[in-house]
Amino acid sequence: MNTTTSPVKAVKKSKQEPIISLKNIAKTYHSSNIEIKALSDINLDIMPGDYLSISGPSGCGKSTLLSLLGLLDSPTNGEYFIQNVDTHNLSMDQQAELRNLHIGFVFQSFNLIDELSIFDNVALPLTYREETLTQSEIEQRVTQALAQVEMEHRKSHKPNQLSGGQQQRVAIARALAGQPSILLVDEPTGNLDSKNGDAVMDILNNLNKQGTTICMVTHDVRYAGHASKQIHLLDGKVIESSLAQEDMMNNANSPINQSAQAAV
Amino acid sequence: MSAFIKTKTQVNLAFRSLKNAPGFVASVMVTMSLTLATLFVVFSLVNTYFIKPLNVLDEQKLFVVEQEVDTPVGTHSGYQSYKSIVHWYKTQSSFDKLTPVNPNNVILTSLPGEPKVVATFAMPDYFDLFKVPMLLGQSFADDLPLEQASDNVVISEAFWKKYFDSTPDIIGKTINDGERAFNIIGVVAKSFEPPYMFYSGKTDIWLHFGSDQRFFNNGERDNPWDNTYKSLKLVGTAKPGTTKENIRKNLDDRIEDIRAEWLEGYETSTDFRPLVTPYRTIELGDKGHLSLFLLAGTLGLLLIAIVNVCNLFFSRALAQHKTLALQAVLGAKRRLLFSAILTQTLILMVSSVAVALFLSAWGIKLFKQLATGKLPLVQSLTIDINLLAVAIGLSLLLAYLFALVTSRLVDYKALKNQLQSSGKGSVNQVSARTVKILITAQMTFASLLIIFACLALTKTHQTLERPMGSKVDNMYSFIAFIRGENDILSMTERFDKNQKVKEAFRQLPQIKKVSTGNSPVSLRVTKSTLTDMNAKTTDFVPQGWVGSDYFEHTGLKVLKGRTFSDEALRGEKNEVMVTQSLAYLLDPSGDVLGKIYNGHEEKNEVVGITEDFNHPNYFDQDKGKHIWWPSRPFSYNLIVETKPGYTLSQEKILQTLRKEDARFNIWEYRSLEQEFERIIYMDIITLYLSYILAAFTLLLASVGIYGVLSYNLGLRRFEFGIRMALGAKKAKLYKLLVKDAIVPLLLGVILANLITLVIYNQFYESLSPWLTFDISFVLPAILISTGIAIYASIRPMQKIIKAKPMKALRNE
Repeated sequence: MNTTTSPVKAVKKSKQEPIISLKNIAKTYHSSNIEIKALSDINLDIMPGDYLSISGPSGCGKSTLLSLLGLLDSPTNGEYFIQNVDTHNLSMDQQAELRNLHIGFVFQSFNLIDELSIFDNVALPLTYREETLTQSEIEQRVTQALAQVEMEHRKSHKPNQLSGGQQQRVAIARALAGQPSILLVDEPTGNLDSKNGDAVMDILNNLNKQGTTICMVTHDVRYAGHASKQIHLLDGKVIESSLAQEDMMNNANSPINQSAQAAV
Repeated sequence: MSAFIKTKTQVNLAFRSLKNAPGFVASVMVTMSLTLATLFVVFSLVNTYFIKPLNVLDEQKLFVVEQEVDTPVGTHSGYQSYKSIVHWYKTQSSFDKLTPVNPNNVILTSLPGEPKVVATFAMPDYFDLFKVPMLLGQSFADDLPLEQASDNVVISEAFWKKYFDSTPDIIGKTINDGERAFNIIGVVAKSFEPPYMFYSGKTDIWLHFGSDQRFFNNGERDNPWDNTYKSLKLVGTAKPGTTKENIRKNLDDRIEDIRAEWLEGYETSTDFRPLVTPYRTIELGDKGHLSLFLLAGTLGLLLIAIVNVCNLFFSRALAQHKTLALQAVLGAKRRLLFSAILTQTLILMVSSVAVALFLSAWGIKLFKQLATGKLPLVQSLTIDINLLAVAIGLSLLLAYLFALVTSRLVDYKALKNQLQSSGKGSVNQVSARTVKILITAQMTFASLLIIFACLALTKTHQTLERPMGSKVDNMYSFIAFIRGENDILSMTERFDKNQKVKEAFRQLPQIKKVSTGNSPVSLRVTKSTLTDMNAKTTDFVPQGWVGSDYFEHTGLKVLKGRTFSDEALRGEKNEVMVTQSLAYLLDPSGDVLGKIYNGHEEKNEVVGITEDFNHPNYFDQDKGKHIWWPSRPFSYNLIVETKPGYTLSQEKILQTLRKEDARFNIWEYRSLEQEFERIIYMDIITLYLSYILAAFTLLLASVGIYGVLSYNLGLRRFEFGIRMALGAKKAKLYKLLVKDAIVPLLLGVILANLITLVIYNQFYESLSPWLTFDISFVLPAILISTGIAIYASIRPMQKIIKAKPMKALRNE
């Protein structure tokens, strides 16, 4: 893509336009002459302020979809726009810049770097910015992000000195520090007990109320219901999307409930 | 389960596990077997020089006697007079068995081509002292007195094969040197390796010491006192209870009997004394140091190889991480995990050592071919019990070391914790500090070896590229003589005859040019001194005898003055020429034209100063200094240049000479091209070995650094995935690489350079014969090796960066 200005910068935030737009997205893996269609025909718009959950049984393509959304992988077919930028021909560095500016990641297994302190872990994405931030700006943002997850008091500690729930909160702070357009959250409670899981979900709910756009992958139906929008994947396809939890929970014939029963 | 079944199961599991990792097995085996093979070859040399007893009679009691002479300019040792050696032989009372030994060249006129062979003159005890194995017949009888010439000869098996076609009835056949006939009484087996101190171990025939006409029955042609020989020595076993000091004192006491005669006969000496040295010390000379130097270099290579293989084992441990973790969770104790790893390492090391032994057998054979005549005791190199013990010991030690290092790295608790709390962060099993130390150490060793290979290369290049001072292409040098002619013809008549012979050669259609002289392009060089009119004498300096046309023919410029006059060549005047370096030694201004010096003759006038003659083997000692004497017609010394493509054989020369006079014989014949190749042979070998060493070191170091970083990056692949997910661009990731890999790498290079400078400066005198520091060689080598190492560091990173971040996050 030949542009004189970075396509990443040529974006206009509009409340009417989606932050992320997927059109006919498909992802196919090839392994030893076997073709695996992880995703097919995915169409999705995520608007500013949305709280979207993506659920489905194990192997349905949730994490694949999230990795495509996060520009960690590229689709086999289809179009993916983020902040009106067509990601199709972006270079690796342009994709990295886009990720750094607009996307905050929260992983299932936290993925903090053991050798760095909590402060440094949260500051890490800020050090990758093209426009270099001053030390005081970095400190301010990190402190603010840690305050949002109530982990300010542990900023000098190392990740292995924290519990799982605390590490996940720090991971959320890291995702927030860059003030992204969207948080992509992959099974945030997958490695946590219910109490810690609830605490993390509370944080996410609060963030959304404050205006943060969240896209969350979860297999847990309880937590999926926290979101204002839900899509359900099965075999790489969107089989249902809903705006309310109650509709899904009350419909016994819902494929979601059917697949949940099959899993049990 | 019985111990045998447990072991069998473990071995089966180990084999199956290794079978699934062919790349790993191949890398380990290639690295270790090549390095160990090199080590075994060098060790066999060290073993022969320092550990194995020599195949002589009673080595601990075997001594060599030489003489040490005091002169006004200093003390000289290692050159012996017949008078002193013979006197000591007859009057000593410290030795049990004793023999004087002196080899010489002899022309055997009764054999086709009248070859010049090496004859060792010795007494019967020689055959006992050196345990000479007789293939056929016998050696000399014990009862023959020293002075008595014998008409018996013992020949070598190679001589028997070459000149007599291994005929079974060899005993009783004769060979003739033009004056005397010798009966062949015995054949020495080819397994015998004559002592290296005598003509580099070359002997074709053995004659009784009394048959040596350089001393006995020579009509007092040569002064028996100051005519000294490096190869003339006494060798013997001391009587029980007699020490080296006892021998020395005994021989020193005997000097008093001949002191007056000595001082009269050896005018320039003020005193002399015996020098008694253990046989091994003389036989090995400084070659022992060379073997230790080689051993040090090879051990350095082995260290790099070990570090490399450790890295490979680390990577393998990483690959087997989950398996090991599962075993730990299922209750396997640390000892069991260690034993599993040890079984694998044992299989690998034993196999590597076996391959190494096979390769080293071939390597030893090759080394023998290359080094025979260049190094002593080369034929004794073999794979013996010492070497096998080292091989077995090494295989066990290395197996244990690799197993220990690998198992230590596998953090047992972390393994269990990782499985129990899957996915929390990343389990770094090797600290960043350890990795950096590994890289720095690897690069330091590798750079050191490459730099030292470079220093050896530099030295060799300098030697090979330094202009010698003589053409050698299509050039031949020979010495011809007619027995007894010097007693009949005057000097002038002989001079005229020389000119006729030269002209005869010029007439040959294939001959381009002819000049007078005995070319100094020779493996062996004689030396002399010059004494000025104030009795100040130079040290021994190489010398040569040449005619007036020599310099123009061979291309050595006469810088000042002129060449020899005909009068000097006829012996009517005493003239000498010197090279420029010698001129500056004689006089700091270098202006020695017209000055008078004593040498072979008295009062020789310096008539010319030439460019330096840089004999490759003597440049370190003599730095181009050379004396030129006028070649007087005591024999016919000619240098002949042929047209390109024509080979002038010894037979052709003899044919041409005998057309002038049928009595001509050839004393010496040399193709200067071949002679030069022989002179620089070791330099060429050193050159190739240095290149090979440098390339091999670079390969090992690159493999090692690639392995370390590949392993480390493998561990950090997930971390890099996270960083990429957070928006880190390539530049940021490479910056990490610079900090974690390139900086330690460069530190290793700097350390190596500093260590080199310190060692080179500290040990300059010992090292300068073999090593020379020249920045124009060292710098490119360092840059190339660093460049390759940096590439080896970047390569694993490139793979991660090129792939999608998701692959890194999935740890693919």
